[in-house]
Amino acid sequence: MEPLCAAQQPGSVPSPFDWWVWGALGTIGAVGAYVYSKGIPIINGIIALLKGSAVVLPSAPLLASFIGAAAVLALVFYYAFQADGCIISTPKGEPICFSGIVQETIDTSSTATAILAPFAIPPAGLFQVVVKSIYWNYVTQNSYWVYCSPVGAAMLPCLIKSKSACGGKIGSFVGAGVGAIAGIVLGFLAGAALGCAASGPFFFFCLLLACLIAVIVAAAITYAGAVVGGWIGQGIGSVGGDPVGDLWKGLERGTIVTVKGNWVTNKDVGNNELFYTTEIIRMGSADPKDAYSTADADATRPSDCPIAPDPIR
Amino acid sequence: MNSMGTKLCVRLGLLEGAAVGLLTNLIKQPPVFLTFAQSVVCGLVVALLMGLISAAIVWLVSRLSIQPVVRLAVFIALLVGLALGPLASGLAHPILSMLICAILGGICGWLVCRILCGQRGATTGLAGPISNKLMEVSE
Repeated sequence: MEPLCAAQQPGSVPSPFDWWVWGALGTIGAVGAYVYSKGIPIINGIIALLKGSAVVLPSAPLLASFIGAAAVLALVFYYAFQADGCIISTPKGEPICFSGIVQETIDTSSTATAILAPFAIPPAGLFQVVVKSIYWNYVTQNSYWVYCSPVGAAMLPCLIKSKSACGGKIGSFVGAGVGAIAGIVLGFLAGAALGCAASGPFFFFCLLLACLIAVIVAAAITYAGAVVGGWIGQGIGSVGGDPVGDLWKGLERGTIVTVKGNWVTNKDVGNNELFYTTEIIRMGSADPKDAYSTADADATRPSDCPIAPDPIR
Repeated sequence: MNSMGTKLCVRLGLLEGAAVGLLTNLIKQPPVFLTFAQSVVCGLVVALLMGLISAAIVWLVSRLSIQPVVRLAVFIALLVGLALGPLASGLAHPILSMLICAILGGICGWLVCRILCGQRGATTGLAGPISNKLMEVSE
């Protein structure tokens, strides 16, 4: 039976509890309580050296600058520890092989992200393949969503790994750590430099401004460390060849392909996909069309893939 | 706003709530005691600032349109600032205030999402940049 397009099952994709953000908050809170009353050993010393006197504890500007830096660190850690094959390996799926016709290629790279948020570089791009009918189970099995071509043929998205992303993430991870130390020190000094007099009608605004300055300076310097580290990491990561990425760039609508890769279900939308594509074999070109159907894909010559067995998952 | 979900709203609310809880509580340390109006002003300023910074980062990393994200962040900030500023100034310790306001901020975010985005927005997860791109193309 031909697959239904779009949503496959009633309800939405089951989403696990968002433990990460609450865990980060609890950790930052616990460490923050210590920082507020005792300071941070090495940073206390650096501040004393630069300021000529030790931090007066409990310290509002110190806690504010610590939280600013910790928030950015948590953001960078979140992306660095995604299961995307950089620090944490990709979700374990089935190695599959299938063939069909490329309906579209999508470039997901972003100059803005690469420059301003190198810790969050997404995959380089993807291509959508109208699969032969014998491979429909790869698109539909356990999926919550099926992408279709404009004429209603089931497609499987195949993601291409970004070669420089891993370097960017690891570089940002290191850079943010270094930036956080500088950020906390400078955030504290900037906040404390306002020297609010402990009286007068503007004392409230002065204190608010001092804390905001401490948070923002610390966060900005930590972020700058992550960005610079990410640039360096991207530079290192992009050295060497990228055969799958190079082949993907040459794909266009109508290319007949045999594709191999790690078959998983996307946790956000619930569609099945290749995360990532490990091999692309060009098998020729179909007649030019705006949209390909399953019949078009079935009419192409057989691939070297084994006849699609039922996936084990 | 339909492609956004509760996860985004809860995270925005949580960040804004945590910032309001921490900073409002930090500045009320003796000898300063905030009046109700001052705590509301402080809560609104901090929540709006945090909301705009968070919206910019969300836009950068998720590829969602900037306008609806900012609108959502501002709605949540108004609610969080008004409701949690006075609460934060009454709590005993800045970290306790940060944690409590973060939880309440998350609830405020979830409520705003339910009201603005309806059932679909409330049940869809915050998709990653690839999913957003695919949905955009398929629509």
